[in-house]
Amino acid sequence: MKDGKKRGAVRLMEALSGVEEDLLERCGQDCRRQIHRGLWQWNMRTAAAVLCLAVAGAVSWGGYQLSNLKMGSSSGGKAQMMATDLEGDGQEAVPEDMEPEEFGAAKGESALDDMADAGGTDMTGQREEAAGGVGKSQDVSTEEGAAEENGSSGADSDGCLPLQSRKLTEAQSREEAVLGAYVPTVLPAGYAFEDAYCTVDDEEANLTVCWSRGMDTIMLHLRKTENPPGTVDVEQEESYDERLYEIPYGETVPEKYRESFDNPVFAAEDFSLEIVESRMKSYDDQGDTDTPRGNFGVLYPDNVLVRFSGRGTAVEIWEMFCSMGESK
Amino acid sequence: MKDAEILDLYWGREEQAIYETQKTYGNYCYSIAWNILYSKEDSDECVNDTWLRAWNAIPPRRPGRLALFLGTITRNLSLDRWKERHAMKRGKGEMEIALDELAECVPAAHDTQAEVEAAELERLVNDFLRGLPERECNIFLRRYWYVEEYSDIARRYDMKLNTVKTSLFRTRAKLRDYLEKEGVLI
Repeated sequence: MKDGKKRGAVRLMEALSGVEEDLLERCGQDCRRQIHRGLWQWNMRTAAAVLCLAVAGAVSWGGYQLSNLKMGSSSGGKAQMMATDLEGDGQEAVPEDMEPEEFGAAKGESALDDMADAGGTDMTGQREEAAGGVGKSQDVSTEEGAAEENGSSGADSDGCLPLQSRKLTEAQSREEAVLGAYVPTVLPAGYAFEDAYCTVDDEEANLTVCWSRGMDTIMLHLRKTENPPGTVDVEQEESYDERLYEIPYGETVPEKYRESFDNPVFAAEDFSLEIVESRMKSYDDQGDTDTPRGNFGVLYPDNVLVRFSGRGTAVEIWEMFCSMGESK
Repeated sequence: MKDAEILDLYWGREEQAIYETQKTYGNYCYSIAWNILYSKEDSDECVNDTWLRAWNAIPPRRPGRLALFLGTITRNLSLDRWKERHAMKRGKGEMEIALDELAECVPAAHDTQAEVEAAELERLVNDFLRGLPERECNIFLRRYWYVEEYSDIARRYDMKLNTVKTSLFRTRAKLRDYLEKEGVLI
């Protein structure tokens, strides 16, 4: 049975070799457009946000006027929801909680496993079998540390400009000048290195490292920056403490705190286990693990900014941060 | 060197064609092979075999998109290599070997049938992909044609990792439903 499904997956992979050229070409063009878009995308997002605010304002005002005229009650909430919908259209905001249980662990999962899923395969037990094939070899390659610029950085001659990033092994990431010392030596139990890279084109030293544990991931973006972001005042807990608010945050977090609440950056000297606890929260998402998840940044005195996004208990994440810089 | 110039070299049967192809498309083909095989040795062999196949195929072929032509050859070779390697790993099993041997005795009609089925599956997959939104289709191809990692796709399209995973999950579910609806048994 398992073999049958795997064979089916292989057949699908083979059938994909017959994909028509224009589809593949379009795929390359989309990617190229994306890269060209990169430079001015930020401005466009800002413009879109301003536009959304204007629309939201207009709708709110209209709703307010209408309610005054007709019912005498506020329809601002509805208007806000409409505005939120409009904002949502501009992004590919697929909620995390949509992700199914059996899917999401890139580690050890091969494309063939995925394809087997498309063929109606129950994934249970399939990975084990795949370990003899692609999945296993991925692990091996990681261990071997072939930090060559394959795939993403190769000459993508189908029209895609190569991504200007350099892949690293975990060991190599630790050896990176300046930022390597901030790669933690202690991780929550069960996490395994997934990938690391630094963007070559970026003028500032940067490094991104990712670990995974089944569906859980930990991602650290490290950057030595000349323009450090502002840090939050830890005394002002309402500006960052997730425990103080209920979901949907869009309705419960005061507007003045939204930016800091969304992605707070703490000064290293203020950083503590209590702060981590305030940012790691479990969500009752159907089909998801109940591991607490959260995100925040820590700014170190040498202007190294560490942005964390991932899952683990507060104590685990705190210990992970404590292990940073140990090798310095 | 442009595709047309490289193709002229092939048509002129000049061996420099291989050198120029390697120079222009070496990394591209290698990345396709690597993503499937994760082995330097195997990937190198597949890429070298790709040049040989191209040398034998051009002329008479004159591909419109040389990159895709070469990429497809590399991909097919890599899949074959993967299956070969996988079968070897699994199969101390004489059963596998015995089945291979018996397959030689299967009448040609079955091969034709298999080819027709494969062609039909290709057609269905193409139809399915054409019905997808462009971005969803592109992500699917990045994952299952180029066999790129999720994180690479996320970076390529400036998307969140989870968004990529979710998109692929949904597309796979759609493909499963589509194939079931079309009565395909894989």
